[in-house]
Amino acid sequence: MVSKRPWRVGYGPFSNFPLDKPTSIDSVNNLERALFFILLGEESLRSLAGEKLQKDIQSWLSPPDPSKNYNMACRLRHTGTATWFVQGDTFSKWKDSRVGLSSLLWIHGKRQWLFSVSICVRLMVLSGSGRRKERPLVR
Amino acid sequence: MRKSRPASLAFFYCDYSDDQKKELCGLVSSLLVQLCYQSDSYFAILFNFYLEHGGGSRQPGDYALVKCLKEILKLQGQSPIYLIIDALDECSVTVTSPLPTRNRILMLVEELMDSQISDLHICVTSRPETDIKATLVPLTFHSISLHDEGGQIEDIERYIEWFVNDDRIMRRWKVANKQLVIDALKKRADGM
Repeated sequence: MVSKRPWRVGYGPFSNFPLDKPTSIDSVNNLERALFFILLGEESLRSLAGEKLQKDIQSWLSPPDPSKNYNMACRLRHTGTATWFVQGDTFSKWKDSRVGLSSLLWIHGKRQWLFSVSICVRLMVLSGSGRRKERPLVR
Repeated sequence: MRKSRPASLAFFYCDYSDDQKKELCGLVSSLLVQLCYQSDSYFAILFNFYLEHGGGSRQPGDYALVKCLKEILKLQGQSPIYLIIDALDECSVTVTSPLPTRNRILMLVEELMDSQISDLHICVTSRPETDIKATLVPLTFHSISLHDEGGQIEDIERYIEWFVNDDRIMRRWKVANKQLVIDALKKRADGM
């Protein structure tokens, strides 16, 4: 039995996942000032400076947005499929493998059925893990 | 009930129809940005990387991106990290410099697993292509072939039953006829 934690499924940098509405700030627009806020350690300023920097770094790297594929796969998935997998031993052994070791799980099959499994892996990892204790810069 | 542990998760869908989603730099930059949203420590590493590239005035190369990702993954005393790479077979196999993208991603996975990084969990899904199999099987804690799984076969059978009983035209058929279709499809489904 995996314990349910209030970890949002829709966290993260990409717009297609709903996020808690962030506070916006436009005035922090240079690195030195943002860095100063971070070093200052004052919580709200640190959070606002961090948010601006994260946006800057994200637009610099311009990574592709995986949430589009994820949402499409969710729409195509037939309800209940792949639950056998996430309730099975292999998945829990991979997910909870002993601290100190790394683990690789390879799931192979025909394309039509892989997406159900990958959605379930993501959801079950999220539902079975608490959020990090460390406070994220962006909330 | 098992006690939960804090964790970070980043995922990526390889997609042959999207240029960025079939290249190594797309994969690594996406993982980096997702991870840095989840921890101050990861963010600090990426921020430093940003500064090293002139505060965003220079684009990083693939090698530098991979190095930055490794730095995050190897951070001492961190919580578990889960990386999900979906549809690896959709990555480019045409030769780009110096190797096809798929080889380079496989080499990255191999290198990460060989490094025995603490609490790193990687899940890869793909078609069972020969090159992927050859690299991943020796490294894999466990591999699952959906084709052989009883649960998968039951999923397919349930889907066929649902489809035949739900379809606007077929649901009006006689029960015996619907059963004939269901039986025939189940017999021939064979992992499809």
